[in-house]
Amino acid sequence: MSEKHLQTGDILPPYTGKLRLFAMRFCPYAERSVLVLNAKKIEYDLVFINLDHKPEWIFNFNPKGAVPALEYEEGKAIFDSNIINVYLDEKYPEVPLQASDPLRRAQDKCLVELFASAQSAYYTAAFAPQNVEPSTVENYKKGLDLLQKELEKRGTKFLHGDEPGLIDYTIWPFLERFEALPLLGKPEFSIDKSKYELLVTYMEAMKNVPAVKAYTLAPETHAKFTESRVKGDANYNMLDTSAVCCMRPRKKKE
Amino acid sequence: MANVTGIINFNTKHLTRGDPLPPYNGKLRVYNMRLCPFAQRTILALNAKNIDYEVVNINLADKPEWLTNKSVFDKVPLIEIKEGVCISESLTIVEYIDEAYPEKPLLPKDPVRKALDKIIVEATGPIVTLVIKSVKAPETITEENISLFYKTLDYIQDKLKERGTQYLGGDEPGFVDYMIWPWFERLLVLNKDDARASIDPKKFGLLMAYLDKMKKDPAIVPYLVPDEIMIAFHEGFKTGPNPSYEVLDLI
Repeated sequence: MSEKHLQTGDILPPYTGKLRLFAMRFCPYAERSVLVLNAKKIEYDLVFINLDHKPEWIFNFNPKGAVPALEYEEGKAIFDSNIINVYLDEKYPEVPLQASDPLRRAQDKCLVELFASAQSAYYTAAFAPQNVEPSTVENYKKGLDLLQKELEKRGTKFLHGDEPGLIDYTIWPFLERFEALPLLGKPEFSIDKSKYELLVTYMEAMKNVPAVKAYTLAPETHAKFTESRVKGDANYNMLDTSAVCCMRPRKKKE
Repeated sequence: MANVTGIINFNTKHLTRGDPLPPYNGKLRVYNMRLCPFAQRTILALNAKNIDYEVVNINLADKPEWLTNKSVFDKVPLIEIKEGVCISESLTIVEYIDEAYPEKPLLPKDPVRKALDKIIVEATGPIVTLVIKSVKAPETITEENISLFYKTLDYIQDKLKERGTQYLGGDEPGFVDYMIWPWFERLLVLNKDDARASIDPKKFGLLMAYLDKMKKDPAIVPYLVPDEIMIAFHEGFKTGPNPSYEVLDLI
């Protein structure tokens, strides 16, 4: 996986015949689709793009120029994470990630929708901290309460069941980033283990899931990227070590 | 099978604070508001699939106390599929209905085609924005709102051309057609004389022909209201935060 983010002027890498996901290394929405691809053991190419200086060709795949976008056939793409993930689950039915019961699927979708205000609270706290109000913290805590209660109600190791499913992979990228908030000077957003024991246990379990392990980043890394973005100079290539400024010949990381 | 839409009463009283919850009688129930475009998506999907259901209309200006017990979302549409078991969010509801009642599918089976149809529905956001703003807060309409609106009309028309079928969903209307219809229904009535949102038939001939066909669709026809009712209902927004519910008693 190349950590380099392609930008305006960079050419589109040639199509290799594999599914190709356009993403940004630190984007939680794109991560949803990476996790699903990993979990379903589908082979894919991953291309990161610089969201501040977008390569022109991304608009051919997604008119909004947003990630994630999935090139499912040469030159043809579908987008937004939820649409991509349902497509993947249907097209590649081995390792099914959606609930099999239509009611449960609907309830999972409602859970994601209810969690959205905690996601918004995270974005405000991380990227517009000056706009944090008591209601921001309240919405964030409501989201944590929601997951804690749901885990209690379902009584399984993961929200989906004994194994993680689409619902877990949809929510995980945000929980991953929530842990960065105390490092960004926002202690009121820390997840108190004594209050959220089930949730914290769940988060530890998710970190050990192979699909997540292959892509997850530490809270310190998210905090560093977030700070660079807030400063107005997002360091997209933070993790790219392909061009080391060292005289010693070194194998390029692909 | 007989067409169920002929026997469903869409025009029940809009229940408000103090009104008791009608007892659940085992039939699929839609918590609705007669002219809510989001709730209409649920009605159209049920009509198109010829599923029997009952409507409980809700006065959104002063909701009955029991609505929050049904769903934390406290909005319409809401469906109650068995006593105390509810699903919210218009698109989630319709996808559920399509999965739980497999005859007369609204979404295509092919995973790519299904994804592309959902993308079209998502892409109509600027139309939804313009309709809502022109009714509730016309002074907030920006140049960008208008330009995105027209780009979206172009996009829909291009999709019709590209697919070459009578409807976006194929030879019959499908999920994509029914999910976007409520917004076009309002555009054609409320924004008929609105220069900012007028649909030039010379530029949008194919789109207008498609909309004319949709207006005659058997799932849509039983739920249409006279133009005067649609207009009078929305008048309330000109002087306050709520539409004119009393107009609905005239249907």
